[in-house]
Amino acid sequence: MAFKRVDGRGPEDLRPIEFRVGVLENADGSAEVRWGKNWIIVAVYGPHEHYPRHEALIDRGILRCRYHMNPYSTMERKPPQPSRREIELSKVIGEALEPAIMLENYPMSSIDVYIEVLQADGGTRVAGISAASLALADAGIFMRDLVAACTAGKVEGNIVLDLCDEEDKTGQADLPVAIMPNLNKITLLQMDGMLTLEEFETALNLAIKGAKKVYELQQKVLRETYFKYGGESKR
Amino acid sequence: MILLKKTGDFVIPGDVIAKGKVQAGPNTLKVGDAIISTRIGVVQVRGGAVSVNALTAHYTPRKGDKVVGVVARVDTYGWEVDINGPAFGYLPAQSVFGRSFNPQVHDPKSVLNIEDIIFCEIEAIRVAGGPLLRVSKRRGFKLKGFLFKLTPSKIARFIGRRGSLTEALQRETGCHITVGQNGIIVVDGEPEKVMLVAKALELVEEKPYIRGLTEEIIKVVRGA
Repeated sequence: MAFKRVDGRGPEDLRPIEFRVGVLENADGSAEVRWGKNWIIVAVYGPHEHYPRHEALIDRGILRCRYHMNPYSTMERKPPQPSRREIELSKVIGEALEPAIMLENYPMSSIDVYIEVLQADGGTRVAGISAASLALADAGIFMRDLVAACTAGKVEGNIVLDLCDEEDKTGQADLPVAIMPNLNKITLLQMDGMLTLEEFETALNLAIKGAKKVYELQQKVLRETYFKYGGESKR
Repeated sequence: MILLKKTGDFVIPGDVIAKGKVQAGPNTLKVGDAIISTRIGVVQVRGGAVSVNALTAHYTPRKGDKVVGVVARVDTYGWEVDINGPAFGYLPAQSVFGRSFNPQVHDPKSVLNIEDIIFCEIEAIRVAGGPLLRVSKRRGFKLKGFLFKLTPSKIARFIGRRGSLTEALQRETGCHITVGQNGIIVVDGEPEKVMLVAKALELVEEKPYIRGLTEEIIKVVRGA
């Protein structure tokens, strides 16, 4: 019997993705992403003086990242306080974004990134990273490159791109990957489950291909937002 | 030199602008033999250098900038001043009291306290820590009035050609306007007149690139 994904997509199809930037007036930079049924808003504040003062670094800035899922973002209610998973993802997402940010330009300062998941359907960390990268660019933070991310994994023995929540729960492996597309570097590589070496290489290449498609969408939204009027900034 | 983008092209962080023997200007970075953009903006190629005019940017302090700041902290040897930048600037007490400053005799709080507004210049950008500030004792550096913020890249538009727009606003409203290159503006005057200046600032923020902006602002101020 031919392999069919739960939502009818092909093995290398992404879910519909829509990015928007500048969605929050009070934030220095912001972005929103709708990735399949995922709905995530990211706010960036900074660069600003770091508090507590004694933790500030004299030669570089500090990136503080918080990933938080709202209690009713998932099918079953999640308690509002940070879970172990959210604490880990906050750390991991910060580490995925940091290589792209020129923190050496911001001594004694910090940049705060808040990723709020309003609705979750698998792949929230990669959607959050991609949106956070846009929000950082929107804030005018010096960056070496944007960061684009995507997942690949194994479902019913097949390597597929961009797993939704059901595929993530029932599948054999999940591989979130984040890249800096122009510098050709990987900033996040995690794996959940079991893959042979060959399967891992196939999944990794597929995830990178997916991340590059996400990057095209990021470029498009920035161009449309900032260059809508033939070269004049809309903001 | 190989130019991959030309003047006027839109770029985002990471876009390669040029390769080879070329100088990296503001908002760009040399990576290997490539010059890449570090911000969203528009390319400018001039001579042997490429730079990016950022379309969205927080204030980046530079030596010589004249800025408006708010005192955030007072200590024995000076003041920490919020200059709307990534880190607070530091104004040494010697800049105000002179070389004869003696912490056992002179009290910085007697001159400037928290939330006082000052006009100062960036004397130096330190490798570690925030910028070093200095004030002009002759000019008078303490300001009073209402504080407004404008995107730093639009300050030049608010000032206008040779100060034309700011002068016109001061004439029409009777307010005294001090503009900092860091995007902070202090307006001193009657509250109703200050609100007119606030409307003008809104227009500059929303439509900085339209022709005849000065005339439109004067019309709005007179019409109100």
